[in-house]
Amino acid sequence: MSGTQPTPSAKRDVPETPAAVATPDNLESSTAPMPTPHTVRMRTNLPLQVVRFGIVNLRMLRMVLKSHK
Amino acid sequence: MARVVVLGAGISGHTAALHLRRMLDATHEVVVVSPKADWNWIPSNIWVGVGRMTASQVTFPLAPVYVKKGIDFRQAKAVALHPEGDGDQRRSSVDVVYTMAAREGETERIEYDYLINATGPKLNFAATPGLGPDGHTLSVCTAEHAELTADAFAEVIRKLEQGEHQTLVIGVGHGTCTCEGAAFEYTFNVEHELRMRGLRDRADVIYLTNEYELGDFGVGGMSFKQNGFVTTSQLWTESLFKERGVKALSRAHVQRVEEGRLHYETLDGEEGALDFDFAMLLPPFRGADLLAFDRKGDEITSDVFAPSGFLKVDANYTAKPFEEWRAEDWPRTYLTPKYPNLFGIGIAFAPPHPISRPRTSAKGTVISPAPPRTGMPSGLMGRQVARSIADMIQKGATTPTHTASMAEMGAACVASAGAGFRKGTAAAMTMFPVVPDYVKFPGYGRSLTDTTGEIGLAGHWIKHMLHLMFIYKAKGRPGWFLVPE
Repeated sequence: MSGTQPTPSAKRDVPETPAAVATPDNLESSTAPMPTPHTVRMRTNLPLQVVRFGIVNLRMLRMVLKSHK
Repeated sequence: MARVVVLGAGISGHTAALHLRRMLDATHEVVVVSPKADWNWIPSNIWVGVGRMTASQVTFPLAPVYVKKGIDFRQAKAVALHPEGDGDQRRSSVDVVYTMAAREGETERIEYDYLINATGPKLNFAATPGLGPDGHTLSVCTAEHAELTADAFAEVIRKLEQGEHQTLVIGVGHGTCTCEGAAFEYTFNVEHELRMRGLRDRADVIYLTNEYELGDFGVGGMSFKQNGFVTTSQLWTESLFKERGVKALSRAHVQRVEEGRLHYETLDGEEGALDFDFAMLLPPFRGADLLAFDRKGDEITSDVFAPSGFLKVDANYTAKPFEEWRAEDWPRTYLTPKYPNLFGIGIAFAPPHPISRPRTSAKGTVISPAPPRTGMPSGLMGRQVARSIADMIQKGATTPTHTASMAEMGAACVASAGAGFRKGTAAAMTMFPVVPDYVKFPGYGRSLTDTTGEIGLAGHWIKHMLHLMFIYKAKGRPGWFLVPE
């Protein structure tokens, strides 16, 4: 609904604890690479993913056959 | 005439039973003992948990399949083994308690010539006070749990649509859990569903894990080649977390859960609390808590089973530091050391040690993943043990003839990151071998050629294909045995 601000969840009636109530950090400071917009688009690009479907299946089949010897 | 009893009808036990019936001639009996009436393709419970599938799409009744295949099905729970016989009765036997309505509570002693313990995990919610559907958190471990989770998720969506902020915590509920891959899958399926509905900015999605680094998955992480470099599953996984805005609390053990709040401890000894509106936390696993007795009737449970309740097999259980762990520590035949007719497969066998480096917090709490036994290795163990038993019965082999070491086999894992024929994605991973072997593969412990990972729509199609294939196989349809484990 446009113009509606999200409201914080109501504070629950839970006992106080000595531990601090914390929220984990997000990973913005991580050195892990971010995909480019092109990479993200290619993940759902139909023609490319049809080709990847074949390749990944062959890769998995090779690994399955290697394990079944 | 020989009788083979299989305890458990999950991926491992059911696979073993079907192969046994196929390989043994009709004079030999195959008996399956399982407390549940239905078979469950557990990897798809993730999709039940977000409302994309129903429980009936991931389960089917076992009895008709076993009738068709000529397998004697007892819907019962095994409670005690008598591997040496009992008193004057020399034949090994197992005590069971029926769970089917018509015979509920009845006990029976079933004699056997060979027994495969494939009882899978006991979901140990009790290890963390307040954990589980009877407590304050949700689960996707069973199809029934997953449907309850889907209902709770639908309520979260309703609140988000009304403009409320919601905090969703997904992960593992104890420092010794396994199945981090399943928790990862559910996390990104939830994130995907929120994003598809335009609600993502109103929710915090937090992944809570006992892994030291993201991408560990209980297998010590992986290395694979990408774009001319050798990268790590840590970077690969963190990249997805960053991209999707999923926060992470790692190296964590959940101490207890109250209504809307969980308390945790991290490896550095810090304690904290986390408020949530929705929490799906997987429990740690134990073995099925079977007892064992010798022929005199004295209890020998601690000789036959590890303290975890898993069955001791042909593994090296000598306690040693991480630096001395070897691929050869892992079992190959899954035969117990003392009883030549007793096997343990799938999650039911006792691993020699974890795969990931073990870690303990400053306060002495173990916070590191237990080793996963995923679908492909479990199915392969079932098939190989079935082949060994068939050779022992029909060809007079005195020792198992087939092996299935996790240090000599690979695994294909497809971790869904969001469903949808056109918009879904999944991380399709292979690793070879499952248990790293730093002698055969110096440096990385695994083959860089056969250890791979990629994210895309193709992975989602593959996961759906595996869903259809393995349900077809498990129903024993024509040509089922051509589907590789």
